[in-house]
Amino acid sequence: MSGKKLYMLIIFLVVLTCSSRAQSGNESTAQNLLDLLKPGNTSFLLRGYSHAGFESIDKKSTFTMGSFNPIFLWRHGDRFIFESEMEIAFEEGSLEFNLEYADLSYILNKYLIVRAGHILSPFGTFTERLHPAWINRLTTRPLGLGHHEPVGPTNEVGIELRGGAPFGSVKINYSGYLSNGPSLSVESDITTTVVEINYTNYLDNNSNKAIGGRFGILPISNSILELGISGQYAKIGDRDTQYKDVNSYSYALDLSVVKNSITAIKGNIDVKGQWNWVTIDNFQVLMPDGDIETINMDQDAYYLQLTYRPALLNNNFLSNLEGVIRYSGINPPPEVGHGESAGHTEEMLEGDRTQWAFGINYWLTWRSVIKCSFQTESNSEDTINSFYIHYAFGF
Amino acid sequence: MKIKKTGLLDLVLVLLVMVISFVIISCGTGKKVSKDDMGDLGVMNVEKSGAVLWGENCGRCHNAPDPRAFSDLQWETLGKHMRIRAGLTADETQKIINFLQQSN
Repeated sequence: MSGKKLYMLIIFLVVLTCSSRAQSGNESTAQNLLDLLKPGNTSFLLRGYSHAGFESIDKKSTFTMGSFNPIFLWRHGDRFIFESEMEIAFEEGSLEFNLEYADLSYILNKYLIVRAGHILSPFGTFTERLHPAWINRLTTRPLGLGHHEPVGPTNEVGIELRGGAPFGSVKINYSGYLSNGPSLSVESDITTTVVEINYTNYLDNNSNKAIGGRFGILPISNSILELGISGQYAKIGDRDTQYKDVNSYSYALDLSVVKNSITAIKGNIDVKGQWNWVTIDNFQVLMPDGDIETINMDQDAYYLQLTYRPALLNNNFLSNLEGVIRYSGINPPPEVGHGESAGHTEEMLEGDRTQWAFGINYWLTWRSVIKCSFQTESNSEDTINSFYIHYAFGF
Repeated sequence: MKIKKTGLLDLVLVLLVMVISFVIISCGTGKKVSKDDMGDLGVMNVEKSGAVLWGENCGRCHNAPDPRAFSDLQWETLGKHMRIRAGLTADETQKIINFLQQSN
């Protein structure tokens, strides 16, 4: 082989080797990119909801932030999921941070899930399923079912078993839990005595654990009707006090009727309702004036809401409109305290009262809505009218 | 137990709303399939598709979501979140997730 041919052969081999290596490198890079796109078995999702708007309550108007509620969902494999929701909101002029829930769930099998941590109470359906601003059809929550003056448990710390199962064309869902339960607070000084029930009891005030649960049934095969019953029993007094044996019994009934695309009325109907009632053993409190008073903390709250959306109309604007009517009421404890009731502002009524709310919503997308509503709330002495226009967005 | 202090007029209005709602729903478009309508097939136990379950279950609390709103992986996580929250059964949850993943 001549020297010239030898050089040519060497150059050819070098080029071939480089080309082969480059191709291999490209394949490797592509494989690396594909590896990055593989879903894996861990997923972290930051979702949530928010609302803001303008309000006029008892002729005092203001723009309001509403709230910002980030929701953290962390799925670890097919069985573990961690969920948490924070609420960041201005309340009475100051910025408030609240933890709505933070719990870890493990899917045991097709019918049972175990959940532990700070959970939304399975007590009725409003708190657990319907409270987010983009789901709640009105700007405000029904009386007795919000953060202020709750009747019955809202969220608590404990462990729960829950799930859902079919029985032919009928479906059921169920939940049973043990938790720290509510706590009874009796505080006295020289001038006042204040008695309150705190439903979010992060550290138990006694050795008794609350026991509760909910049972729901969807008796019709297309799931348009759901009926639920909930209950909770707890001892609520502090250990080593005269109140340690005070019992609390809480109950709730809930109703949901949802039927979409009804041709007769060219739209969708949604009826929701819930009734909570709580009975607590009477107990005696030493008042500042030296008298002993028997305290009755029984209370109840309820609401019924009807929503209609003409979704089958050909007009785009009209088919995105929705009308809402809600009636709610509360009969709070008649002797909640002898002093200022916690959380009350001058725009809020106290005592037994009822409320009518009327709203018109416009759905911009399936998860964003402009809500306009008028609300009138009355007790035996006074009536407060309010107007709201809010934008809500979620998930 | 304390008796509610609802006025008679309020109670009547509440009941009226409920009755009207049920009447409207009972006049809905749900098609009843009798044994006769199905001829030789007799009574069939038809399993619902993910699309049907998506419409029936999601809409019980909120508008049914747009499948394009999330990726396959995100639907997997959201599906489990909703199964826990709304008490959905395992089978219907999986069917809804599959439908959303195929439709996004």
